[in-house]
Amino acid sequence: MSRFDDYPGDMFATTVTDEDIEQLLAGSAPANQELAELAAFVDLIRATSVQMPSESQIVEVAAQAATIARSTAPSAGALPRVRRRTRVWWRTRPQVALTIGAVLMTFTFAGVAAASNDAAPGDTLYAIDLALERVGIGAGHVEERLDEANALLSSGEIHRALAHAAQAIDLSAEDSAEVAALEEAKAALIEAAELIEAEPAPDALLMHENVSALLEFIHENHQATGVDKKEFGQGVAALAREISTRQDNGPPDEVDEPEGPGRAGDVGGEPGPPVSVPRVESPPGSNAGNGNSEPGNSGETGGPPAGSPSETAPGSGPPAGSPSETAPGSGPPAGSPSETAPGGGPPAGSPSETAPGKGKP
Amino acid sequence: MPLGHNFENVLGAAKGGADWAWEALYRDLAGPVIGYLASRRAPDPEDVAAETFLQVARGIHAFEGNEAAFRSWVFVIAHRRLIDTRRKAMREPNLVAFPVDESGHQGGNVETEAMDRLVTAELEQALEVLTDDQHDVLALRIIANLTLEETADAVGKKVGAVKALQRRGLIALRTHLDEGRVSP
Repeated sequence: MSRFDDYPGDMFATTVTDEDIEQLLAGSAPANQELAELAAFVDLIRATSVQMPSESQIVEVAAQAATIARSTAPSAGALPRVRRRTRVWWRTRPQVALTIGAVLMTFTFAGVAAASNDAAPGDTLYAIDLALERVGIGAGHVEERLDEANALLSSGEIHRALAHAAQAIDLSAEDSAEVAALEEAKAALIEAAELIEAEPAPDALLMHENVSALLEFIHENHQATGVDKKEFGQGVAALAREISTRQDNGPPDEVDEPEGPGRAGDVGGEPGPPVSVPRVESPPGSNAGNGNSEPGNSGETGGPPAGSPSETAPGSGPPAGSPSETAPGSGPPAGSPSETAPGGGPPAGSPSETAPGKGKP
Repeated sequence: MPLGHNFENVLGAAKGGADWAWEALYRDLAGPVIGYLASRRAPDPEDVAAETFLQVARGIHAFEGNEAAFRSWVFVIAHRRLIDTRRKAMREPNLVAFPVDESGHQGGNVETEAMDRLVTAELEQALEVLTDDQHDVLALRIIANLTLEETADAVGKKVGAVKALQRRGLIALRTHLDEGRVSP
């Protein structure tokens, strides 16, 4: 036992054993009465020190940690791979494809183009992919950006998904009104992305649904022409602003329509009219009419794009009793981040699943 | 509240990247981790706690062990993060607002919070008699609930040194309590 006889004015060193100290620190009442007062003090420290973070921080940190765990899993790639419509060997065996791509790359430019076209944000080849697209090789610009945005969304990176959606907006149009509408859409998307980056969504699941609906709207309508193109731009801007508004105001009131996710799933089977602004009740035309672009508008009048805010899903969702990988499926609606974990089968209605159908005229 | 027999399942799901599993882990440990960091005057305890967990997520695939081992590992990382922020604060002294904002407490029950506010000042005053090393060790023992060996691991010292530090710290605290009668 150590002694600190030089310590001024206390019998402590000689009368208190290491066992006494262990008892004290472990929180059990010490047998040694010398320590009674100190024990009360220790209990006080213990009782007042725990500081729970806010619920939104818990959800946010958990989502980020889960994303990291997924992406660092021994079998997983750096980022979730974009899910494609067709299942051919080089998509299902990306390592093989990448190896072949790497070999090709050393010989031909075409190899670079081929290998890089499938690259997702964060991949080494992604920069090359972007550069090639810029000069018109391997173009699929909008669809590819959307697929990537969906992949980012699936891994919980909402603001990056929105920034990607902004890149998907093609500014080429016939007249200045159309260009203005498209620019407005782009700006609204970037603003929403920045807002969410600065302060993550209080209700991540709802935000996820909204952004998913937005991406789907772009996917369905980006090929519009003429007047439709203007409406398309305004529709996107309205949806993006709604997301920004949510972000500002926190979660909206409970929405009683539980059919949101279902609707999202339906889309593949039944392609709507070219531009219908399906998710927002307030038509973008009204914005166009009076030129009023007040952010609050669409948020107040329309129902949320998709999904009722199932408060219980992210927070208390996982039942402690059934904590298997598939358990969350019963809680959150299809398309939630956890549903789209790598390796899992494509869940119905998940963001990237909505891609089919676009090829059809 | 420990996860108990569920821990193994939760850990497995966390390795698989399930959001709910990470929520369960973070919900369980964030309180004491933030408490520990705040008591050790980390400039932004919530941020450091979040960073700690992201680092845990990066290393989770290599982790094997029970709940106690996990808890201990988390605090090892939290302590290293704390040291990092201290170093950073030393390099950039003007960028860091040092005193912890005590109004930042969230959650907990009303009773605890009220008591919290009342005693925080006294508590802090008493704890000021501790040296940094003593305070580190006692906070890890009391708030993080680490064992002697785990604490030694976290602070990178020998068990004997930790014993000496906690003993000296407790002596100093008791002397202070005797002199000032600040205990509630």
